[in-house]
Amino acid sequence: MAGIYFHIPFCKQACSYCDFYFTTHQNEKEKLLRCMDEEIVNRLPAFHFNEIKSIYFGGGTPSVLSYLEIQQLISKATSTVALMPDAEITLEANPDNLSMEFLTALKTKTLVNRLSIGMQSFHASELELMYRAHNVAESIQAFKNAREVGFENISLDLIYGVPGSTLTSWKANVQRAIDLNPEHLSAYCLTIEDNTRLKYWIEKGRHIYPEESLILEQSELLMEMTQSAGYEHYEISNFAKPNQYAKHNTNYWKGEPYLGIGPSAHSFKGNERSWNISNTKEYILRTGQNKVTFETETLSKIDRFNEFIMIHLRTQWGLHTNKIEELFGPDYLDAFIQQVEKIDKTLLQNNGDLYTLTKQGKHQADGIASSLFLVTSP
Amino acid sequence: MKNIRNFCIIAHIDHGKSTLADRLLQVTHTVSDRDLQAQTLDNMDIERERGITIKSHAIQMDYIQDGEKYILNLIDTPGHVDFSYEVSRSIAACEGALLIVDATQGIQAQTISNLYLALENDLEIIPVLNKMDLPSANPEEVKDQIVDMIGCRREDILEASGKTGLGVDKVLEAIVERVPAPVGDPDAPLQAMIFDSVFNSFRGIIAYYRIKHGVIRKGQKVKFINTGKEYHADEIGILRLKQEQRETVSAGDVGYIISGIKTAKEVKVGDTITSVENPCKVAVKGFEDVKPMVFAGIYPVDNDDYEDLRESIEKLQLNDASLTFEPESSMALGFGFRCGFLGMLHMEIIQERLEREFNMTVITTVPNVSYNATDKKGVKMVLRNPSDFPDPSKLDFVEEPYIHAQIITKSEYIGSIMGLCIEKRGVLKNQVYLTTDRVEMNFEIPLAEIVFDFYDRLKSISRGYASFDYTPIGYQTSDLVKLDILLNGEQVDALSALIHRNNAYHFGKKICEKLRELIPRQQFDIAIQAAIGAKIISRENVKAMRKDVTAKCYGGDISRKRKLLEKQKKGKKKMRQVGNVEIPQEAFLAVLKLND
Repeated sequence: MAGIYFHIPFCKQACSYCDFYFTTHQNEKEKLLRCMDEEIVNRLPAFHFNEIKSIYFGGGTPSVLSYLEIQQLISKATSTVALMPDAEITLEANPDNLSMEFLTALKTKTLVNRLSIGMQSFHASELELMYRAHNVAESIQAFKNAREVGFENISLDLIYGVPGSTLTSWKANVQRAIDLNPEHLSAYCLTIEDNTRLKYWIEKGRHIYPEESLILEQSELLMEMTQSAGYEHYEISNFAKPNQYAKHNTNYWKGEPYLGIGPSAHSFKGNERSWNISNTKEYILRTGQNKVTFETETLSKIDRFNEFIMIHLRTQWGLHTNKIEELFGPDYLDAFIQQVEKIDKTLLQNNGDLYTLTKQGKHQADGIASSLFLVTSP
Repeated sequence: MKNIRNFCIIAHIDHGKSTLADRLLQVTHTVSDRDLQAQTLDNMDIERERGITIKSHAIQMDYIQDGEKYILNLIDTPGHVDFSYEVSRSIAACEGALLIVDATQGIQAQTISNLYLALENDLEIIPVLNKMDLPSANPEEVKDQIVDMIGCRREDILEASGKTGLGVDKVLEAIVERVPAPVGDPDAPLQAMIFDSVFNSFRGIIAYYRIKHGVIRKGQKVKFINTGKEYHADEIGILRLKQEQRETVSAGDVGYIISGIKTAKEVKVGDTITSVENPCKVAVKGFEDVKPMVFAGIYPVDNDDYEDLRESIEKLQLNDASLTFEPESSMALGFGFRCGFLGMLHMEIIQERLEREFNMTVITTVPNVSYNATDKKGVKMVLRNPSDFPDPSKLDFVEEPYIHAQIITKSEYIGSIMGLCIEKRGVLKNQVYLTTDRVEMNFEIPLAEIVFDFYDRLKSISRGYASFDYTPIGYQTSDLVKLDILLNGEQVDALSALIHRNNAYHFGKKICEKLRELIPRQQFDIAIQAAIGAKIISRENVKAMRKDVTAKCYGGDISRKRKLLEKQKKGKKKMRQVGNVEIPQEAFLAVLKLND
C-alpha cells in the first residue's frame, strides 16, 4: 500500500491566503517535468513499493498541465511499480481550467479518476477577496462538465471563516455544494498565514477576521448540514459519502508510506520523513548536478507516538488502545492512559478501547493532541 | 614599609576604571602584554559583560622610581550601590585613592558618595581625568567640578587615557609621591582587617586582608575577632597576578590567608585577624554585619530540582556571604527558598549566576523589603514575606525602611526626577547646584519604592544623565497592605505583594493587565482579580479559547505541526497550576516588568 504525490508548483495567480510553494512563471515547466521524471527514477526503488494505491497531483495548480504531461508522470511512476486495479488517481483542479475539452482528454487519455475542485466559495465577493482565478458560474459549469464526461468521484473544496462572511452566507455555500452532490467535501477554516496578502490586509484593517464565535457556528452548521446530507465527517476538515474517503489522504493518516515528487513535496517511509527543497530553480539545478534535492529527518519512537496521536485523533477512527500497545508497547499505553484520563469527557469520549473527539472536541483537536503528547519516553 | 603604597580606585561605572587599572598592571610589568586580557581584574564573566565590578580584588605591583623600588597595592572596589559596605572596607584598607572621572561626563552620584567615604577615612585623593583621548572630553568644566568637590589645586588633577596609555606614568609617579606610606607598628600584636574573601574549591575560603600592625606568620594560630573563631594559618602570601606564598607578611602590606575555612559566612568583610598567642587589644573600627535589604522567593522551574537548587545556592553562598536563604514553600510554586539580597542588582546577579554557573533556571517571586510589624499586644515581628503579613485587625502598626537617596543630574531633568521621586513617596530634602547645569538632589524615600522599576525610570526620564546612590536611614511608620492576586477565585500566593495602600490600586490594576497578556487562553474563562483582604480592587478576564484546531494535516503538514504541538506541550509542562488555571513562568515575573 503506497502513495505518490506530485507537486506542481505553478499557479495562474496567487490566492490571497496561500502560503504554499508556487510560482506564477511557467517558463521552467518543461525542465521541471523532466526533473520530476528523474526524481521518480532515482527515488522510487528505495521506497520498495509493491503496488501503488494512490497518486495525487497537488499544487500549486496541477490543472495547468496538459493531459499529456499528466499521463507522462503517471506512466513514469507506474512503469516500474504496478498500479492497484482500484487505485485512486486524483487531480487538484481549478474550475477555470476544467473545459469540456480538457476534461474529455483527462477522462479518456489519462488514468486520472478523481477530481478535487477548488471551488472555495459560491459567493463572488469571497472569491474576489481570496483572489481566486475563477468565478461562480465557471465553477458550477466545471462540476457539470466533469460529471458529463464521466467523472464519478469528485471532491469539492470550501473555505469558511472568510472575512465578511456570515452564518447565512456560509449556509448558502454549503447548501450549493451539497446540491451538486459531490462524493467528497473538504471544508477548511481560513487560516491567516504569515507572508500572505490577506494577512497584510487584516493587519492594515482593510478586512476583519471573523469572531471566533461565528467561526464555531459556521463549523457546527457545516457538521449538521453534511451529516443530514449523508456525509461522514471522517476527518476534521473532510466529509465523504459512505466509503468515498480520499484514499490518498487517508494513507497519510494511517501512516502508510508515500513518495513526494517535485519542489517542496514531502515523503514518508517507516521512521523517516523527507522534504524537497521548495525552490523550483534550485530543484532543477540540483537535479541537473545530480545532487540530493531533499532533507531527511529520522523520527524517534516518541516522535512517532506523538504523530500517531495527533493524526489519529483527527479522524473518525480515533485512537485505539490496542493499536497503541501493538505499535509502541505497554509503557506507552500506560502513559497514554494516564494522560487521557485528565481530558474532559465533553471533549474526548471513549467507547471501550476507542477514543474519539466529541463535536466540541473537534474544535480543540490541537490542544488535546498536545496534552496527550509525550516529552520523554515513559 | 616606607616603600609601600596602598590605594584604591573610585570611579563611576563606565568611567574607565578597569581599563586604566589594566594599564597600570601593564606599565609595571605585573602582567605581560601577552597575558593582558581586557579588564584583567574583572574575572567573572558577568563582570566583564556588564562592565561592573562585583567583587573586590587586590593586586600588587612593583614600581621603580628614582632607583627606589616601591610596592603598590591596588585594591579594586565594587562599583554599585548594592555593595557600598564592601567599598567602605576596601577604602579603609588604603591610604590613597585615584578618583577617576570620565572627562566627557563629569562626576556622578556613585563617585561622590565613595569620595566622601574616602575623605572620611583621610585618604589622599589623586584626581584623574580619564578618556582624555575622546574628542568630546570637556576637561576644563570637569576640573572645575573636581576642584569644587575636593578643594584640590587645579594643577593636581592628572589627565590620562586608559585606552591610549596617555598619562599612565604620571599616575604612577603621583601614587608614589602623594599617597602616604602606611603607618603601623610591625612589633605590635597582629591586627589585620579583612576586606574581601574568595572561594576556591580546593582550598576553601581565601581571605584578603590589610595588616595594620604586627606581622602574620605561616603556621601561626590566628583568631577572627568578630566571629571569635580560631584557625591555623596554613598558607599566607601576597597577591600578585597569582597568589605568591610568603613566610611572613608585615604591617602596611596586603595579603591573603588560607586556613581551611569552608564557608564564606565565617569570613566577614571588616573583621579583624589577630594572633591567638598575643592578641591585639581592639578590633579595627567600622565592622558591620551586612544585612540583606531585599527579599524574594527563588524556586526551581521543575520541582524535582529543589535539592539541586539548594546545593547551588549553598555553593554561591560560599563565595558570597551577603546572600542569605531559608527554605519556604508556596502553593503555586512548590518548595523553594526565601533569599535575602543586598539590593536589586545583587538579586539579578545571583539569578544570573545560578543560571550560568549552575545551569539552574529559576522563578523569582515579587521582591520586597523587610518590614517591622507590631501587633495590638505590642509583640514585634519582622515581615520578609507577604505570607508573614498578620491579620490586619490584630495589627497595630507597620514600619518600613527608608533611605537617603542622592541623585546627580543635569538641571534640565530636575522637574521629571522630582515628579518620579514624589510619585515614589519621596520627600525632597535639599538641592545643591554643583555647577551651573549639574545639580545634586537629596531625597528621603522608602526603600520599597526603589525596588520596583526605579532605576530604569530614572534612567529613561533623564536619558541616562542621572546617577543615583543611597544609604539606609532607619524605619518609619507606613500604611502597608497585602495585595493578593486571585485566578478564578484561587489565591496565587507567589504573586502576593506587600505594598503601600496608596499604590495598591494602581499596582493591582497594572498587574492584572499584565497577567491578562501573559496567561494564555485556556479551555475556560479565567478571572484575574487583585484583592486587599476580601475587597476586590481590580479585575481582568482571559476569554476561553474555544477553537484550537488546524485546518489541514496532510503529508507536508505533519512534521511541522507535530513540532509545533510538542513545543506547546513543553511550554505547558513548565507552567504552574493553581486550581484549574495554568500559569506560565513569565507571569510570576510580571510585577517586575509592569512598564514594559
